[in-house]
Amino acid sequence: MEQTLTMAVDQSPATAAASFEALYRATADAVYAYASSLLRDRSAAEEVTATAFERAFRKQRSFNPRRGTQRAWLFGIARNAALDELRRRKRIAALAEDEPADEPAPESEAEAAERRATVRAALAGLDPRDRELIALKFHAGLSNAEIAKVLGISASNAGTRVHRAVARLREACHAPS
Amino acid sequence: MRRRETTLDPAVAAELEALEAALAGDPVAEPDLAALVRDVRADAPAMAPAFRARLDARVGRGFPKPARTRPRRNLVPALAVAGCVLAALVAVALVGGGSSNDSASRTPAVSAQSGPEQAQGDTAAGSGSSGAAAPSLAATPRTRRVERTTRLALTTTDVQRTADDVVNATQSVGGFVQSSQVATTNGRGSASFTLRVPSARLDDAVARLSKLGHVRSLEQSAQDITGAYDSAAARLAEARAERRGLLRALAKATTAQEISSLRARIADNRRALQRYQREFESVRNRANFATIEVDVTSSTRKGEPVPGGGGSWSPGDAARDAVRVLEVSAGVALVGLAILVPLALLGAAGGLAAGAWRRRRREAALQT
Repeated sequence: MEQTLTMAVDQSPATAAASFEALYRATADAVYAYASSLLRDRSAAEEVTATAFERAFRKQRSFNPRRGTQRAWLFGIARNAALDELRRRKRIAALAEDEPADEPAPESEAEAAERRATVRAALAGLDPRDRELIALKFHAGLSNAEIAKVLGISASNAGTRVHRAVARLREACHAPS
Repeated sequence: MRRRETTLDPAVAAELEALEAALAGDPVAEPDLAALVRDVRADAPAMAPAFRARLDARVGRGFPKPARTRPRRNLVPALAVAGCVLAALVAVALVGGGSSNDSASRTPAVSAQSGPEQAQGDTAAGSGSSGAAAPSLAATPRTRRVERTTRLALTTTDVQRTADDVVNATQSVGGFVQSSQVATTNGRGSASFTLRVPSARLDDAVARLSKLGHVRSLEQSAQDITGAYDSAAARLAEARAERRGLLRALAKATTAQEISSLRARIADNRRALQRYQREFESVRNRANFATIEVDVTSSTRKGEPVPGGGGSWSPGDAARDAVRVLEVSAGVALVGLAILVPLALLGAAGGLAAGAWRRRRREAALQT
């Protein structure tokens, strides 16, 4: 997950395309997971993921390494696309029926399924802002500084928010159902 | 925009470190936190294979845009060209209108017939003054009488020598210096002349005078004085006719009282005749002799070409024109900046406000 990706402004078109494809390979799953966590709608998440990568591809030259990492830049684009989609659609669809079936190990099948169901329910009950932070931290693997860039806040503020979101998630997981 | 950084609470920082350890899969991470990380990641939404395949294909093709039915025209070059043309037009207009002091203006002369016809009329009036018959205004075709005035400003490197040349040029065309004022020191200074030259040779005189220095300005005017001329001539002719009648009556007078009365009237007529003669000659001189007012000033530096002066277009003129064009261009740019800077500031402020508004609307989408 922690890959150093570079996309220099002065790259040739072929090099830029290869660089972008590397970025796509490294982050596509995380971007989709993040979009899904925000939107809770599989088709909307697919649309936002595709839109985010297309915008990133078209705006490759606007990326400035001095203003943050390429992953933070990409997730910032994905966030804007997701929020635009949220605002446009005015609905939040449940993912429950779209969730992939878990394939737990036989010996802990019941226990693992129960634990994941608990986590899923806890995530679903979180505030969207907390759910976004969990997605950026757990799925995308962004550092607090990168999250700060995505959200447009300070790094310490991002750390505090992440801490609170995780605390609420843990609390929700341990809360009696 | 730099955001204010605050220091994290030590307890929070410690828990965040524990979270980072769990996220990194550190074996010494807190087991409960590691399990949470594992469960959340295991529950991460995954892309459907069909969507992944479609997205892979689009990335591989570089997100091709759908073909446009009408190609979009790039207006930037056209706008740039239009802006350049506009700036050039403004510059040319300003350059052309900025040297009014140095321009030579000519007032179209009144269409006049001076010369042979005028001389003929003058001869008739002149002969009248010497006792011949006065011109018959009704019989002769009406000849236009025009008073012409020319103002000429010259610059020269040697005012004294030019002043001498002005006098010589005036005399060479049959004219005379009516008044002059010359103030020079070591060839520098100024001189002014009022010259009278025969109207028929005015153009010749102006041509000669113009060669004596750089012509800074040339103005010519003409005034039709035919009415004044004819009136003076008529009064003079009537006075002469009266004199002839009185002289004939005196020759026929027989009584002393009659003779005395006629002599008194003849004396009055003589005085009137003299006055009318002076008036007529004054008007005739105005028509026959043009006035040239010449101002001669020294150049700023000896040998230095005069800005806007006549002659061929020298490299110095080119350099001055280039400087002038640069000045005008700078002026145009300054005016453009005066317009564009406030607009840019307004646009920037509007952009910032729109960005903030857009961010707020986006964040509002996350409100539960």
